[in-house]
Amino acid sequence: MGKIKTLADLRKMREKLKSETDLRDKSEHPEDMVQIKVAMATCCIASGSRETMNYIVDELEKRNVDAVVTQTGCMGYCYAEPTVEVTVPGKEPIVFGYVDEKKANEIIERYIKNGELVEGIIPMNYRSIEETK
Amino acid sequence: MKDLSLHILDIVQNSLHAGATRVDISITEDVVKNIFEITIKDNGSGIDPGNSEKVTDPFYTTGTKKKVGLGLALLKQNAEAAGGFLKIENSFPRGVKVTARFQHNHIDRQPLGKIEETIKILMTAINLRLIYSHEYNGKIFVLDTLEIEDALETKNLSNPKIVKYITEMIIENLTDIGAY
Repeated sequence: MGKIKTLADLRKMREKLKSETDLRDKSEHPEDMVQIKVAMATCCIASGSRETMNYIVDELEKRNVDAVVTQTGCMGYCYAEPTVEVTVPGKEPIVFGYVDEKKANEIIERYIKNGELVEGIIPMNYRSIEETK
Repeated sequence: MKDLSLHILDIVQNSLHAGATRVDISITEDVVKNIFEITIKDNGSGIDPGNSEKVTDPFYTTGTKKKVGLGLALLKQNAEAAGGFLKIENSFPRGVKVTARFQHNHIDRQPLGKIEETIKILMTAINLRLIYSHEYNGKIFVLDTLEIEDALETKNLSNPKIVKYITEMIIENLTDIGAY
């Protein structure tokens, strides 16, 4: 396969892409899927959130995890950037801080795939037992 | 910010925050005239005219989560450090155009960095038409997400396989015009 360089090259790839990828719009039913929000404000970008987000997108594809990855604004945890919010269907959203590639790998493998809790959670959604009654 | 592509990602976040549906990123490099210029133009809600002077003040922000707003302030600082300037043209309520000019060969001009990584992130924004043009000594490359959507007959360009092809396309073309 040659390199993709022009729109004509992309057009040639169209049928192949259609057959091998799922082009349905994932945003229609986001609640059924793992949702990952990567904070992408000045503080986050300066701390490497672009690399974190691209790593997560690439790795989820490689490991066949169905998820929607989006960018979001500053969550106010500038000291702990890059921050990532992960919502597994049926569970509360969890915010992780200091997510570099190593941490992102741990989150995908252990939290998303196996449901284990991993370290580095920012307790923004923390509620005590009394409150959840 | 380590490089200019990160600045671009940062400034476009302002456009997205202002509800822009179209963002034009243009980079012009002219080695002879010693110019490196980035312009980011959007059709968002613009800057409230009373606040247009304040946007480069690091302690001014419209955000609510913190008391600083460093995006444009940092870009201004870096442009001025590299013998250039930052210009903001506000056509409230119909969008903003930000121009950052640098001296191409200035020792303090940051490198462009991985612009394809920035475009990759921006392609995940919903309902955004992104037009990225890069001119290097008169040779030009233009990427328009609407044209790509038409060519691939899909609205969902955030698919990782498509993103991979587009990243490849950007690198190939930038190498071709001499910018990479």
